Amino acid sequence: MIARNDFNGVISEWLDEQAGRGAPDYLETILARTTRTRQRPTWSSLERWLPMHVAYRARLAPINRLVWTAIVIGLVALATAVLLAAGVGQRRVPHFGAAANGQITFVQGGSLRAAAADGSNPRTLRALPEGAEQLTFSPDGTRLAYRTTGSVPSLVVAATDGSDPIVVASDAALATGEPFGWSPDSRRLAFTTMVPGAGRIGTIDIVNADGSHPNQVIHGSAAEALDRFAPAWSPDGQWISFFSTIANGQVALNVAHPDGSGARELPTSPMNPDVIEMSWSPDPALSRVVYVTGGYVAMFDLATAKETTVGTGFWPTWSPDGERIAWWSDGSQVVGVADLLAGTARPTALFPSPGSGNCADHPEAAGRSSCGPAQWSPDGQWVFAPDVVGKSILIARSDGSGHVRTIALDPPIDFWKGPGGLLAWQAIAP
Amino acid sequence: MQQELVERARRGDHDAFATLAAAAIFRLDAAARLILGDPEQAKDAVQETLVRAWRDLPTLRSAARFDAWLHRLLYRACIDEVRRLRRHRFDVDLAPIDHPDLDDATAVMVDRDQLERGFSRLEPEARALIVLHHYLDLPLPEVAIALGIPLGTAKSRLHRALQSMRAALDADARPRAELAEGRLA
Repeated sequence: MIARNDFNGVISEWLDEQAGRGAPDYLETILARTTRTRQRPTWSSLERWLPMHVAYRARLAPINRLVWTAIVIGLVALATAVLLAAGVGQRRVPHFGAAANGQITFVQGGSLRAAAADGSNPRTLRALPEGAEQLTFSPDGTRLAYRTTGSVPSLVVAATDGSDPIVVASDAALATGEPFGWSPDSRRLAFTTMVPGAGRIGTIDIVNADGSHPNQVIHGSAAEALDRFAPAWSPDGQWISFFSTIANGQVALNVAHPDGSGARELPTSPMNPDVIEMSWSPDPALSRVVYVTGGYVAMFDLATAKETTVGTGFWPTWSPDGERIAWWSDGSQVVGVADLLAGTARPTALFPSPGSGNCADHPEAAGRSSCGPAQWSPDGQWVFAPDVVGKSILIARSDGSGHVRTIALDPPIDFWKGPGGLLAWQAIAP
Repeated sequence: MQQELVERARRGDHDAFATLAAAAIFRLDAAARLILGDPEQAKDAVQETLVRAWRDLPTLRSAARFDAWLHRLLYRACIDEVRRLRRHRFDVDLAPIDHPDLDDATAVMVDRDQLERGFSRLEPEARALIVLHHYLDLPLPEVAIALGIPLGTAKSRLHRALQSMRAALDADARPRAELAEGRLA
């Protein structure tokens, strides 16, 4: 029995007793998780991103003025074109083509939920394993992949309603918090694992969507020589791109054939280690990628080695036909690729900026401003993104016309798991 | 020293982060156990807190704010944990507690079981307020920042939480006092 006049003191004393003195025994488990988790880019905080507008201008201009750089790029372009031509001999996977809009699926709390393409009929499909992330439909729209982030992360492939989950890879070394990629024929997945005993060195693995034939893209001692991460498959299935950290602490964009041959670094502008976003144009006839570096989005054409600046910002995504790019730059914007290349780009603003600082600092912009990659509907007519506090999905026409629709989310999407990979729009055959 | 470690961890130095995590894990684990009342849930919340801390450290605007930021992450992780479990089980719906006005100077006779019962009846958000202020000894402005609420709201919520707890203790004690006086026979 405690007899005290000071109730606050009683509470403090009791809490201290309850807390005990035993040291938790799971620090090593946490550090094992953080070891395979990459840090978020500094610029993903809006406030940190804003000043970079100036930084990128200063950095790009001198590079473009150097004539010798153009000569080097020209030579590398020639080499790249030869390499790409060499890959043409392998079987090309047919482009999936224009698709119709299936259901919008999202991770909300611990559940997989879905709504019709017009936002109606929101419903819970099933409970997901704790920490499910990177929700990704297969290109043919028939399956759904996600990754769990427990003490032993798993890569899971399931039916589009989340049923019949198959663990296709499960390993404590599976890297979490970064993208994995479907092959364009929807038969395989590429993902990052950390090389055992090699510190924070990632390598690219491939596995069939039924869990068979796991394979490492880069083998042997070469696998430990470079930290490779964030794989993405080219739309013709010939190449897997990935980032690598290089000696001076910067990041390079690489490609290799799925069998590991033809591995090479692309001659893009120097990137800082914040870069973890890259995607291929869906058009298999064009070997184009967009990526993010140091606060700006750039498009790179592998055939010509030409780099085109899209604009300041991040979170770039391609329209399904590869003719437009959406990205976040003081709000979500869309621009035509042909206009970009012609130097006549006039971006269309879709969702306005919430203001400076972190998204969570702007609850007043809920239902209006986005905070996450603007993704495309499979028919290319719509763009959707989570709002600043995760309380709704915003859906706008990709040409900026009409009103913004919303799908209310209660409880909100858990942004702590990262704004990307929690929403996906299923493609179905037209 | 801590700020230097935070700066290093922000630049990707995992060893520096490991040192920060080792220094913080005891108080985070204890606070989470107090808020959630379950060691396994607390473990999950602390794991989530530190993984988020590592991942999001580069976006921390001031190294000096590391502790407050970590406490906010812990609070969010605890509330997420509560929400996650609410979806998977039926919670006991507790009857609302009367809030008689109690003078802070009133002498209180309580035992530990009563305190535990009173504390467990509070909403997790209220338990978090009490733990941050009375266990982690954070000043109320820091608590307000950690919980993402205005200072005035933090003050009034803390007052209400303590009032609720004392009212519950009082309600618990009343039948025994009445029994002792023979009124419940």
